[in-house]
Amino acid sequence: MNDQRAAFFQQCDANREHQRLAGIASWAAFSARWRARQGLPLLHALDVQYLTPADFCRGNGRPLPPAEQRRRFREYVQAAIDQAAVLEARGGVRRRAGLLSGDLAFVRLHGFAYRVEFQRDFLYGRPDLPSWDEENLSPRRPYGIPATVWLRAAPQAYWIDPDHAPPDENEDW
Amino acid sequence: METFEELVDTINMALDAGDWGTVVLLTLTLYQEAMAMGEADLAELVKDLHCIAQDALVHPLEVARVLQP
Repeated sequence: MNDQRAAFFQQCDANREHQRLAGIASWAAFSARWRARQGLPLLHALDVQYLTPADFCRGNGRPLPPAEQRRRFREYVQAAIDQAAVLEARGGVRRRAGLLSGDLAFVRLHGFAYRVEFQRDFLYGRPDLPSWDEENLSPRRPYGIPATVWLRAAPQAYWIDPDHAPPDENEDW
Repeated sequence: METFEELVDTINMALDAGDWGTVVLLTLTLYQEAMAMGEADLAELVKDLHCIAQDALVHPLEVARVLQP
């Protein structure tokens, strides 16, 4: 597994195009963090992908109250989802040779889509049943399973078989 | 005279080396070139880099904390 990762990183390091896009992404991340810490608006809503709620500060660099940080983060994520949907509806972002602004738009949109796709907080329904199954159309509790790890690494949700479940401690209550 | 691409590469090397003085100077040139080429989105980003580098010269520790991965 580590060999695979090392080989993948070596491949990326050797690819000049990849390095160019990574460089632009790092500039966008610098800008997003610096702006959030200064209490300034982000250059682009999709730049929220480089932030956490805790990055949002007042103009003097002191953190906002946690509830305000979360609210601001949610607003940016919603705006980013809306913008990404508009861009995708227009046929996505096409890169044109020699234009770095095109690369910047590409990095922003694809980085955001990648994160939203694979870093959801909950798995809904049962992956072992088709989407039209009654259980997935109107799932019984639990409605969602918290996903505490990256979903790509752990795509399976496990259900306890009632026949083999441990006895409920409050069964006799 | 460096090409646009070479300028970007040189700035990235200066960023890697933490050479903020060079970043301040080169981002000015890159900003002007980006505007002249109609690369408005990139120019805005370069302007931010220029301000970050200026901040880093005055408050190096704070900026290092903001930019750490």
